[in-house]
Amino acid sequence: MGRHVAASPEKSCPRHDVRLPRPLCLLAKANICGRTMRQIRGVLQPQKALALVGPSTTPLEGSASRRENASFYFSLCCWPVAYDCSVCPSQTVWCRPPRPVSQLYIHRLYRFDEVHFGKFASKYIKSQYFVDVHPPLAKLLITLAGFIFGYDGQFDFKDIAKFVVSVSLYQFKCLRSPPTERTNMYPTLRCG
Amino acid sequence: MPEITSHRTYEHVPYVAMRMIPAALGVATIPLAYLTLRALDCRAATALLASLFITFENGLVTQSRHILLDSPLIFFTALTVFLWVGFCNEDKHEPFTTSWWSWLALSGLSLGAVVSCKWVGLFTIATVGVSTLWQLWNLLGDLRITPRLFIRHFVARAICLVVVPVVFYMFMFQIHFLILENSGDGDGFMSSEFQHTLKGRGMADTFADVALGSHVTIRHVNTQGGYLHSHPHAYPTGSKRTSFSNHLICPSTKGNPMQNNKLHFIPTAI
Repeated sequence: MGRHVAASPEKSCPRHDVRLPRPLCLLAKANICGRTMRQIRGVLQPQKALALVGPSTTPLEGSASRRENASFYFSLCCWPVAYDCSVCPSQTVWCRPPRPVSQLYIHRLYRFDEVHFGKFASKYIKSQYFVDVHPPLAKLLITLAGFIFGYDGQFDFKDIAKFVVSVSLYQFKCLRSPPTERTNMYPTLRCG
Repeated sequence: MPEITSHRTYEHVPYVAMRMIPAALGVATIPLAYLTLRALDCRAATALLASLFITFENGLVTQSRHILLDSPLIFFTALTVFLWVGFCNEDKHEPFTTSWWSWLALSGLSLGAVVSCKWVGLFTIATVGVSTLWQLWNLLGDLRITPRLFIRHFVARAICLVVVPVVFYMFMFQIHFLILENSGDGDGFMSSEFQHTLKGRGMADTFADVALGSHVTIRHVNTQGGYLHSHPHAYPTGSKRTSFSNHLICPSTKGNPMQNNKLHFIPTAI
C-alpha cells in the first residue's frame, strides 16, 4: 500500500517509464512494455492509485517526487477510472463529482509553481504587501476563487509536493477500502 | 493509519476552487479557437479540428489544471485575437458603426487583461500593433480616405488600443494596492514613503517634525537593526566635528537606546 507503481518490478518496465501523453493512452490499443492499456489500467485501481498519492501526515520527504510521479502517472493514464471520494465537509456526500472536476481533485500535492502563486493568494487574503514580477490580474482571479470558497490565507504554500488536503477519517477509509465497502459507508460514517 | 489531527493544519485550502479558474479559462479557450477560425472564414470542419487539437493538447491540459498564471494568459490572448479578428472583419465592412466601436473597445480591454496577467502579453500587444499599423498604412494609401477621416481612424485606434489597455492595467494595480494595505515581506522593495502608507509597520515617525532641543534616536526599520550611533572621536584631519563612526551597532542595545544613540538637536552658534 502506498507504493509507487514503478517501484514494483512486475508492474512496469524499468526502461520505459510508462508515462504516456494522454492522447496516446486514449489509443487504448497501445502496447506498452508488452502490456495493453487495459492491463495497465487494471494495475491502477482507484484505491491503489490514490494510495500512491495517498494521505500522509508529514510532508512527503524522500518519496515526494516519486509519489508526485505516481500521481502524474495516474492522472495521465487512468482518467477513465472514476474517482468518487469527494466529500463535502458539511456531512453531505457528493458521490462521483463530474469528471472534469474530479480531474482537479487528483493532484492532492501542490506542484511546481503552484506553491508560488498559491502563496500570493494567501498574501492577498491576508492583505500583506508583496512584490512580484507578474501583474495582478490572474493572481487576483485565483485569489477571488479562493476567497469565495472560504480560504483564510493560513496555508503557507511552502513546500512543493506537500500534502495539502485535510483528509478526514472518513475520506481516508474511503480511499483505503474496497468499493463495495465504501458504498456501504456513505450513510453510516460521518465526515468532518 | 496516520494521525488525523495533524491534517487540521491544512484545512480550508480550497485548492480545487483555485484550480477551477485556470481550468475554466482553459476550457473557454477552446470555443474561442473555433470562433476565431470561423471569423477567419475557415470551414466548420477546419475550425472544429483546430479546437479539437486545442482540447487534447497535453501541455495546455496540464497547465490548465494547476494554479498557474499561464492559463489566464492564454485565454486572454485567444480572446484578444478573436476580438481583433472580429474588429478587422467589421472594419472591412463599415467603420465607425456601434459594433465596430464595440469590437475595437473590447479588443483594447482584452489587451489590457493579457498584459495584466503576465508581461509576455506585450507580445500580443505587439501583434495587434503590427496589424494596426498595416491597417493604417493601407488607409493612408487609399485615396478615397480623406486626411480628416484618416485622423479619425488613427485616434480611434490610439484610444482603444493604447489608452484603454493602459487604464485597465493601472486599474488592476489600483485593486492590487487597495487589497494589500498591510505590511508584508515585500516592504523592503519599496520606498520609505510607500512603506509609510502600509499598516502594521512602525514607520509613523519618519516624517515627524523635530523641534530644536529634541533628543532623537534613529533606527533602521527594514533590518530591525541597531540605532544610529556615535562616539566622541573626531576625524584626525579636517573639521573637528564628531564623526558617526559605527552607524549600526550590536543587537544587545536593540530596544535600549544608550546615551550614544541619542542625537541632541541644538541651534548652532553662528
